Amino acid sequence: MRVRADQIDCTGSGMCELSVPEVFALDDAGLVIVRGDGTLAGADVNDQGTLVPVGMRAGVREAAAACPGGCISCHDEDGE
Amino acid sequence: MIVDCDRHVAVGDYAELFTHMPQSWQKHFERDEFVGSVRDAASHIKLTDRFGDAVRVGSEACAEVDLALAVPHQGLTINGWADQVAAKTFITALNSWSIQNWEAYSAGRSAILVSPYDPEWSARVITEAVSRSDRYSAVALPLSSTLLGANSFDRIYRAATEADLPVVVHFSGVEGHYLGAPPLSGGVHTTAFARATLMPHLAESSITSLCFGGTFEKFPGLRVLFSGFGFAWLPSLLWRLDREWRTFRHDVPWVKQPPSEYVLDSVWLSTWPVGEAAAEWPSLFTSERLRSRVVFGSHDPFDGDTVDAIRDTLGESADAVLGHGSPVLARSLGAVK
Amino acid sequence: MTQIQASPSAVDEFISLGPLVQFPIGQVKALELDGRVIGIVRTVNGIHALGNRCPHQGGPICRGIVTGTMAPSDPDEYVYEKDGEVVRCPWHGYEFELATGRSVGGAVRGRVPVYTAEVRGDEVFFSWRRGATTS
Repeated sequence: MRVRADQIDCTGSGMCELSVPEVFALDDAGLVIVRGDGTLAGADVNDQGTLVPVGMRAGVREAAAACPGGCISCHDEDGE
Repeated sequence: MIVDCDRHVAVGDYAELFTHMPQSWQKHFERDEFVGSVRDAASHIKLTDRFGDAVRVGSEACAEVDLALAVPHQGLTINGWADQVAAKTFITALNSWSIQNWEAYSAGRSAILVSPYDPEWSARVITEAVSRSDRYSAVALPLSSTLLGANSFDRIYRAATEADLPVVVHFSGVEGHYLGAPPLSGGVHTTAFARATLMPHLAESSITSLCFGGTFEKFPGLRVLFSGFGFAWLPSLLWRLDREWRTFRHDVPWVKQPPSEYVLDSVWLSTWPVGEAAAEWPSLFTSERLRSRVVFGSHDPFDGDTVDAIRDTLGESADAVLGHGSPVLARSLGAVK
Repeated sequence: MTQIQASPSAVDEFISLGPLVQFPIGQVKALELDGRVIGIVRTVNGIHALGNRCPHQGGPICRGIVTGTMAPSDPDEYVYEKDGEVVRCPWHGYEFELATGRSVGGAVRGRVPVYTAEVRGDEVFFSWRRGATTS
C-alpha cells in the first residue's frame, strides 16, 4: 500500500500526525507531508506515493478516513 | 504530604454556640422549637445509624494526615433557612466556635462559613476573619438557587482571592428539599438517599455556570473545591463544555479559551466516595492535568474514605492524589508543622 | 454548481472565474474547479477563495453563511466585529476568518483551506496557491 497527501485540500487539523506520526507530519505552513524523505526507514517513493510498512497500514487507512480535508489517499498495489 | 480536604466538624449541642452570639440572639435561639428545627434540618442527612444524633468533633485526625480542612457543615444548612438574618447570626457563631475549637483537630484548619444570600456581608466576613486568624483555610459557600457563575457572587470571589483562600462547596443535604436551596435534578425526590445519589449534578451545574459565566476570567486566581460530589463524571463534563463552547463561543465571548482549561487550572474535586471511580480512574483520568484535579477528602466522620481506601482504589496515583490538596490550601501550608 | 474547468491547473496558474458582478457581496459562491469545490466570497474589502472542508469534521464550508463574530470581551458584554469577514460552518457553527481560514477564538485546530483570489479589472482570477499563514 502506498499513501499520498495533497496539501491543496489539507486543513491542518493534524489528526494524521497524531494517529501515525511515523508516516505523517505537518510542515512549517501547518500542512501535511508524508515522511518520504528518508526519515522513514527504507522509504520507497514513486508516483503512487510512499510505501507504507505493513504494520502501519491499518493506522494509515484510519487516518485517511478521519482526515477532515479528505486529502490522504491510499493505493493498494497489485497482490495486496 | 497528605492533605485531607473534606473533614467535618460540628457542635454536639447547639447551646454551645450561645456564648458565641449576643445575648439577645441567644434568647431568640434558645427555644426548643428553634433549636429543634435546626437539629431537624440536619437530620435528613442521616442516612444510616452511623450518624449519631449529634456529631461532636470528628474522629481524631489520622496520624498520617499533615493538614486537614474542617468544614462546620451544620452551617451549610442555611441555604434552606427562611430567616436569613438569623442564619447570619448562626454562622457567625459557628465561625467563632470553630476557630476556638480547631485545636481538637490536630493539624486542622477551618473553613469560614458565608451566606450566598448576602455577598456583601460575606465579603466583609472573609476579610475580617483572615485579619483575626491564620487558622482559616477556605471559604465555605453554601449552594443556593442562584448558580455560582452569577455576578452577584463576585464580591465573595474577590474577597476569597484577595485572602488567598479557596472557596469550598459542599452540599448541606437540604438541596432539592428546602426552598431557597438549589433544586435538584428535575424534581423533588422523596428520600434523602435519592438526593444523596444525585448531588454530583450540583457540582456539574456549578462548574458549568462558573465557566460560562466568565468567573475565572474575572478572578483568574480563584480556586474552587467541590467537596463530596465525587469526581468520576469530570472527563465527560469537560468534553461537553468544550464541545458546546466551540459552537457557541460567540454567545459567550467572555469565555476566552476552552472551558476545560479553566477547570484544569482552578477547580478541584474531592475523592469521596472514591469507590465510585474505580473503573473511570485508569480509563478516563489519563492525563496528569486531569488527575491533578482530584484531592483527597475523607468525608470523615461520615462513612468516609481512609487513606488506605484511596491507595487501594487509585493504585500508583494514590500518593500523588493524597497530596494534591496542597495547592488548594496553599495559604495554610506555611503554618503546617 | 458552476463548473469552471475539469483539467488540472498548476498551483500558480491563474484562472479566470468570470465577471466580478457574478459574485454577490456577503455570500459564498460555490464553484467546481479541477474536480474540487471551492467557494468564492466577495466582501466589501476584497475577495477570498476557500476550500470546501471544515477542519473539524470536513463539513461543507461552501454552504456556510458569511457573517461577523463576537470579539473576546468582558463578562455580559458583546462586541460585534469583522462583519462579513467570517464564514460559519453549517454543520456545527464553527467560525473561520475568510482571510486566513483560521478558527475564530481558536476553537478548533486547523483551518479552512484558503487559496488565492484577485480582482483584475472587472474579473475574478483564482489560483491554487495556498494563502500564507502564520502558526
